[in-house]
Amino acid sequence: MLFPTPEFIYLFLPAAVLLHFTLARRNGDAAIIGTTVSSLLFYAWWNPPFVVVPVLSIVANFWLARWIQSTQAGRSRGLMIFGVAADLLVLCYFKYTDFLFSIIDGHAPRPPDVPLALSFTTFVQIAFLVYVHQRRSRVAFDHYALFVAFFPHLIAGPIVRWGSFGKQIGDPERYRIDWSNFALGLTIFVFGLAKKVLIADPLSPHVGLVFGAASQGDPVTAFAAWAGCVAFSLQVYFDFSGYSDMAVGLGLLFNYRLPINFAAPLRATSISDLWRRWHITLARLCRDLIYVPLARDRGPVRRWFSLWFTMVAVGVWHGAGWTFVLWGGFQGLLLLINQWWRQFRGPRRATRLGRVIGWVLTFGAFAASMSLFRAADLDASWNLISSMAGFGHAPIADRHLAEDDWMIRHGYFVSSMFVRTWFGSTWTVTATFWTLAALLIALVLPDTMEVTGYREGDAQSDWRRRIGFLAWRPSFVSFAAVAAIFAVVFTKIGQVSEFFYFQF
Amino acid sequence: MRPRAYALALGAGAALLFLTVAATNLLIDPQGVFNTAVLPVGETNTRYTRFLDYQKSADSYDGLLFGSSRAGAMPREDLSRRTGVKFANFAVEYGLITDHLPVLEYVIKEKTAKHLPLKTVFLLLDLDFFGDRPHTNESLRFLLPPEVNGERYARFWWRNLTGIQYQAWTLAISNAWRIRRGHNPPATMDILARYVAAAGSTQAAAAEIAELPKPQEGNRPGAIVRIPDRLDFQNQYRLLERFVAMCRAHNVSLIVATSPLSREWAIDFDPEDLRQVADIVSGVVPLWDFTDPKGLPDDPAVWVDRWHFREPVGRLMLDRVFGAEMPAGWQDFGRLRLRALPVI
Repeated sequence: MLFPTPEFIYLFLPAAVLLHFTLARRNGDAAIIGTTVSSLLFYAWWNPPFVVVPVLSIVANFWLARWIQSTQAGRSRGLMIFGVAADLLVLCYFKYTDFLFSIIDGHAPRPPDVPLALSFTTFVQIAFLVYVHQRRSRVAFDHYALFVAFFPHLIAGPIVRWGSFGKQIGDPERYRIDWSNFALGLTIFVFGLAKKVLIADPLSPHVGLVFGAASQGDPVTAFAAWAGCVAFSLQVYFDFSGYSDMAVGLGLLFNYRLPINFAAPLRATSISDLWRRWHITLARLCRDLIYVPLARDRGPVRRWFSLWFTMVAVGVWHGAGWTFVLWGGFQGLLLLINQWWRQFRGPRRATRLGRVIGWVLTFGAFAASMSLFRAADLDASWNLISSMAGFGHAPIADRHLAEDDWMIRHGYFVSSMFVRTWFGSTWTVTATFWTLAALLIALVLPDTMEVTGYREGDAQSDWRRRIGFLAWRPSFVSFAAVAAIFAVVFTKIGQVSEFFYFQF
Repeated sequence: MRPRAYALALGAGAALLFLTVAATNLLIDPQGVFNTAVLPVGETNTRYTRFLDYQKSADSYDGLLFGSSRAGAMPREDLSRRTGVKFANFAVEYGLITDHLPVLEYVIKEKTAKHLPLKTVFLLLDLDFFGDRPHTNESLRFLLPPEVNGERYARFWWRNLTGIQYQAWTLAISNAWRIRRGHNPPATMDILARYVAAAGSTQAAAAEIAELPKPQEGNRPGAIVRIPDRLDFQNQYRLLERFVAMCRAHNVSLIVATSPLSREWAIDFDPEDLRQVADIVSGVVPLWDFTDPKGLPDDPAVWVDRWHFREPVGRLMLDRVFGAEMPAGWQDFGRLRLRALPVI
């Protein structure tokens, strides 16, 4: 079940909220159990047999956590390591087995049939085991089950931590309807819906044409290759940040405050800043679980290696394939270059021009790296990268897409030669328009979290801008605006594509 | 505004939107799914309604007619008379092989289970649309029936209940308005009738049609994507192979013909391109090719509009396929293509 579908919005969500607060009148634990059950139903909607995986994983990890908590410190470390290894083994089994065998015997890896959201639930539970080992805190099973299975974050994050979300589950004050949270939650949910349905989805077919052509070795012009990568960066951003916004909004309906996951990252003027603002919860988790243990009390070379290795791990987390390994490695390299530049440059504040150059380099490098992230395999990535470098094998395409014919025939904006030279047969005027519009929205309009002032788990950078009268508060004007946005979104729900991050 | 009022108003607004859409769909029933149509519907989901018609007397059919709306002009009784087989009509709007193959699979499975014969399949292919992005399941109007799609009926009805269908709603409302004013609603798929309805009279419609741009040699836009380069071409070619293989595996006699094209429409295509596609298709199955527009006059008696031929043309196609003598002026109409090597 997808969030932007009538069955979710009009059947599942009202039923789940109603069940939660009806049971909460009895007591908090009843509400917790009820919402855990509805969350598992939500999960089972896709593939009922696969619901066994998170259920078994929850039971096993809880049992292990209990053991860790009740045993001596030295032994608890061993148990924690065992638990982390077991979680990673399950993830490897489902997600990386074929890829690992492909390295050995050289066959082309097939896309794995992974239980939904396994990467997310695995990381949530690994972080939990580490937390229990460090803090030795006691955990109730129903609290833990809801912590992992809570449907707003279950499928694609944000990745929650026991230290913040676990405490909220145990807070009895949260089991009464809070209308302020409800109003804020509905507003954030609608903004997230709009990001996904009105901005990300229209970009999807245009992106698919460019990457599809690259994967078949068809000619792609340099402009189309760059435009495709930029459009894909925007699609992923709006798709995933839209999902995260919806998750935060849904959490608020239940009085839980989930952490924000995106802080307008495409405005970042350095790659370090971008990674502080993009998929914040994953970046922090990898920092805490991989980078810090590797780099702690070590020299600069070891720190650099740890940083690079952490980004490779982030890449591998996203998928089983060399494209993801290279993508992570490239991000790590960019971070190292940025670190070196910051050391070289010192603490001086960047000028306006410097920030503009920084943005162009950051966004350009990030968009270029998307040729690895989205491409089906290394050959497709290579085709796209060589096209971006101007080495594509068709400077002037022998045809273009029929979509532009109307404009060409009526003499609007473009000639046939212009389209064939610049766009080729994979890009269109319409695609250019949508991409520019999405880029402007990402750069100019305030983000959901800026408008609503929601700050749970905020980014470690000063990214918020003053937005004056656009700041949200429950009023007739904001009601009219949000209702109007929902009405537009409503006409599109049911036609949406799957969230891009579901495959991770 | 208090947060409570804000939240409740948003919830109520959302609920109102939903109820309005559901009530409208129930009242108008634009796809003919609920059998509750209060207003006369202009266009329904022909994939669903044809299937319902078939199911009403499924056991009595031993032949299937597949095609797009153009196949609506194929005289089924005539076809039945010539073959001795009773044909169920699966001529559906924008029908492509992506629509036909699942239905064929369903019918063969059903007939096999009941030990009933399926003797003949007549497939009318539109070479000019071959490889185009299929409309199959793209929107409610093009949804395949649940039995064929493997979808649950509850889900099918839910989608039809909650889908926003502006065009179908407005068409139904405008039909109702015309009836109220004494005009008949346009018949499904008859575009000439739609012109009449829109223009208010046959003369006005004829005048409107006369004003449509006429074909001019040498005015080829040259910007159209070649048919074999279309994005879905290879997929549809593979589906056609499966379609043919399935008929052969179940001893079903298969007749495949292509739709004739009007000169006005054919000018948008490179004749060599169409010929190549016909060769590719005939590599899979013997093909009666009626695509060449030279054999057909630009007479309104022949064409409903630039895309659709009329029933007399369908009769002539059957004459050609079944070896009857062709009338004067129609001798060049249609040719059988046999096993050209696939160029795919």
